[in-house]
Amino acid sequence: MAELVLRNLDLLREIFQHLESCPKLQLLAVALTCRSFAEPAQDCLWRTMHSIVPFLNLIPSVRCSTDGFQYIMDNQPLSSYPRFMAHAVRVQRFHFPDFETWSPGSPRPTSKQLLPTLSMVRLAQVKGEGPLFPALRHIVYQSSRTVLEDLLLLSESQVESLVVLNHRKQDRQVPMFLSSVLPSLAESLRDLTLQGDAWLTPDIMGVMPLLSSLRTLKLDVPPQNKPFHALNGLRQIEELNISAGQTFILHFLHHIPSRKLKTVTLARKDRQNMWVDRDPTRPPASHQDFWHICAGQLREKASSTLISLSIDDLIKPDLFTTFAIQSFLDMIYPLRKLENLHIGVLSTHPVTMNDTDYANIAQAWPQLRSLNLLLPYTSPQYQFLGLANIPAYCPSPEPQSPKPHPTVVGLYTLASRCADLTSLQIYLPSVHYPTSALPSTFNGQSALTSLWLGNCAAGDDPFTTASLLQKLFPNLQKVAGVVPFPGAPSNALAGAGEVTGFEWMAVQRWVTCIGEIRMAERARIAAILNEEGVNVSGKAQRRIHCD
Amino acid sequence: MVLLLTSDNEMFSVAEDVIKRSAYIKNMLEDVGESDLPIPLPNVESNVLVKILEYCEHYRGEPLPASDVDPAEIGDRSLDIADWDQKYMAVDQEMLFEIILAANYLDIKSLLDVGCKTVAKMMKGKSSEEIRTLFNIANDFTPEEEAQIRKENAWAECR
Repeated sequence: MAELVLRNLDLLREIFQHLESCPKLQLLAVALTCRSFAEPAQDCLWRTMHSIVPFLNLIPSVRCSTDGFQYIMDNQPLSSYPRFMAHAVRVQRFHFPDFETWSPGSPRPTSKQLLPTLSMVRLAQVKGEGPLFPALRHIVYQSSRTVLEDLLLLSESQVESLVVLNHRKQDRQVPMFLSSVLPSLAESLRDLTLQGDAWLTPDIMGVMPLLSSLRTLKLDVPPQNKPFHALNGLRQIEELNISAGQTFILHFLHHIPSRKLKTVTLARKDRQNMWVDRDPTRPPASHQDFWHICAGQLREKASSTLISLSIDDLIKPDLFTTFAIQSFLDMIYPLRKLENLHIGVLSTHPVTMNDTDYANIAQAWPQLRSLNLLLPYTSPQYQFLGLANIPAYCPSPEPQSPKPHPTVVGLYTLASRCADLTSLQIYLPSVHYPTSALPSTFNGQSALTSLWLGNCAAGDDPFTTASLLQKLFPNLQKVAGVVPFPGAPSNALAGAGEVTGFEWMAVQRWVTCIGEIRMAERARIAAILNEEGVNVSGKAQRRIHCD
Repeated sequence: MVLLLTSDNEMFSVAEDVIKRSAYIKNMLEDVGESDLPIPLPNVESNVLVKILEYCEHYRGEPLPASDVDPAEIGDRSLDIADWDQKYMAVDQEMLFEIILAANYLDIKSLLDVGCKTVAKMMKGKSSEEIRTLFNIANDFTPEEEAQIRKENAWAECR
């Protein structure tokens, strides 16, 4: 039986592809095992290449003379190099590492060592006869230092994604290579990523509108980078990720013609005077908050398509203005397909939110999957001793009037209305709440696995807090928060990532413990029912399988 | 219920939502429609089908994995196997290969993937000679063939 598998080339490829994440030496060892392993193992070995040099050795037309000079022996066509062709068809991805991290322990290569010039000339000659790597689809440069002549050699009309990371401004030849290469990829390129501290020059910006097949565009440019002149061709963009100055971002959002935006990630790098082409009948942009203008543009262009929105500031938060969260949310509520919303730290001034805001969010986007609101919030004034006795921390299930801050009622509203919510980062000053007050018909929201509550009082007893959270979210795995520090100002920052304080670590331990006990109990009940041949359905099935 | 007839003439009655994890059976049911006739599985023996059905039952109701794998992500795949899958695959080598062949025949992608990962894990960290011993394979290379593979792939020894 082993014979049938170990002689089947398709199955062997399936097996060996799992070894591609191991050092290449592993696949070489497999290739040297026996004849039937050799070809499928080499298919996997050569699928992702980190240098073009191994191919130069397969073109035996470049020789070194005794005096050390290189010269070209022949000018045979590509077809006369069968070993080159045998391996070249295997390559699907070139991933050039950064020189800095080239190969720890070995001498760092220079560009000349990487690419012997005469061999490159020879490759360029044979390239004229057809693609050097017919199956190549992806090119990744971990550093712009490795973007050399090889980019010209690799740019084939079938390449679908090009990534240049750590694009350094010292690497001045890179814009030249890019502007030469990108037009030849206009029909095929789906993904383009340019990230680094180098400016996008007018040459590259001029080419960008030609990339009419582009689906994903990720640009990370210096804050002062001038905006693009025209973006007419970018009609197919679905994923847009821009990290730039606000003028650049606004200009991009204003001019992008795509009506297919599904994912938009914006990170602002400066806070200079805004400039944006606008309708003269509208009020000047400078009178509006930057993120509100972005929201307006997205509402106009992506109200029926946008699924994920993330906004963040990569600069120090504004000291003088408050982020108007309610009006911002009002502007994006029409993005009716939104499933993931991330609002980063945009201001040091606290915002005020309450249960009504969480209810509005739940009503606008019942399909929500992740919600991260990392803003500084206005905390209720309280004393730290006797916390549980203060009415602000003991919301009744049906409060007489909305509290000026969120309570567990808001959390319950999100849990009950957003059944697909898996990750939640919101502000909640306290989780104190009698579990008996939860509606008896509510079995919990089983999708949520990760919860971060910012500056939040953990309650007197971690077990009680964990029990409440487990009742609300039976599949909760990760919970975090930071208990407010005595004497801290009423400016609770919920955006500290997933840092957790000592009290919340205790809650996390209980959450894990309760979760494991419940899972074991469910498995036990399911096994008994299975043994007895009892089929359950409806609510019982959902509770046993925690669906 | 769906009737399955194995190569050793054993009949199995299986719930449709369990066996639909097999794309082969699913397509057959869609093409043929409802029928009382058993579906013959000439390449699967009863002891292997029992094992396959155990897998399908365990993952009953879970979404099917995406069929297309982006070539850009192949190199990034890990060799991690879920706990239950590891226990499921703790069988002798003969049965392991039987499961892989049956998963391939029945077109159960997730099971094929786990089986192939298990074999890959067995190979990981082993030399050519050790892999030959593991699977009882003879070295059928001529010295020239072996030298050529070593020469063309010499770069792999540095990575």
